[in-house]
Amino acid sequence: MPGASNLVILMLLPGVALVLRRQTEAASWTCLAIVAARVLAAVLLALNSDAADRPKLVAAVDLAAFAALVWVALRSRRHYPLILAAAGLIAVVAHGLALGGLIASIAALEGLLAATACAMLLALVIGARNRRGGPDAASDNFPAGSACPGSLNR
Amino acid sequence: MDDINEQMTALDGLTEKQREVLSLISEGMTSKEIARKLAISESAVNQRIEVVRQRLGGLPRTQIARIYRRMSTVVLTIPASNSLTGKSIQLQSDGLVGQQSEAEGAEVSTALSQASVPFGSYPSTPFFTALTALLDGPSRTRARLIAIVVIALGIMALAVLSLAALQALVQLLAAFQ
Repeated sequence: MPGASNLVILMLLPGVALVLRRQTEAASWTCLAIVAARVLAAVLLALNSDAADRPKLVAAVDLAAFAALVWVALRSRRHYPLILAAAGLIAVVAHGLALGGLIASIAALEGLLAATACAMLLALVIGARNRRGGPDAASDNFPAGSACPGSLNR
Repeated sequence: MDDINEQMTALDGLTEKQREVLSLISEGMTSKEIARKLAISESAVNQRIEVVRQRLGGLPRTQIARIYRRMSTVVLTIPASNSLTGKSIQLQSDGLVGQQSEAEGAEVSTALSQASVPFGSYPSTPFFTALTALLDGPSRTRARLIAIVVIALGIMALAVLSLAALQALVQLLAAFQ
């Protein structure tokens, strides 16, 4: 599925730009997890010529991305990373169903994955914004004393 | 009431400038707006907010604003035994209102909090407040994990229902043709 991966990266670019401008921890880690997963999937698919292994590789990468999104959702003070993690869970379930033969059509799987990517992008862009009377940029950083290994902020 | 007292104690050591920022947050202003109003940088505003947040155990900004609003409507009750008039006296903490009543303190507190102005455009419904408390509460890890699964199931259910509705619509249109 290299086509879908590249499409997702292209779709994420506006979100990446916004997140880099906002410079907040939850948004930065989320963005890093999603983009790294897409790039890793594309690289693994390019290196692996065995067509039978491809769905498993993408599923493994999406599982790792889901784990990273859950980690962010648990560390964050905000609630939008929960939606991103939920979208990641849907992607993992979709892979599981496809590997189990319950989703026969490749197009249906790709459509589902693209839909989850859109949901992630939307949640990230909306969630990382400031809202009048609501959470500000600073609240998108992890709480002091959390197990965060370091800040992406400069 | 104990919670409020603890929070008031936690905020006791704040400087005038930090209180000023807190007051503007409770009015629903963003960091940018506060920075503009006080003619300071946005990072200075965020720094002050961070100090307040750390004093309150890392609470999110919205909850800090709620606490500040609640503090401004805290009712101090002087029991009848300590009152010169022999009746219990209830005073609002900001000193704007002083009233003498025999009513229970809790009732007056409730009435005052209901009269308070809603905070900005952020949802402050009981459901949202309870949900926030649950997701940021002591068992936040479990609550957030459950929330992830519930949201995922909700999205999937919505997708399935949408597809079913679409299919029904297509069949209906085909029947008309």
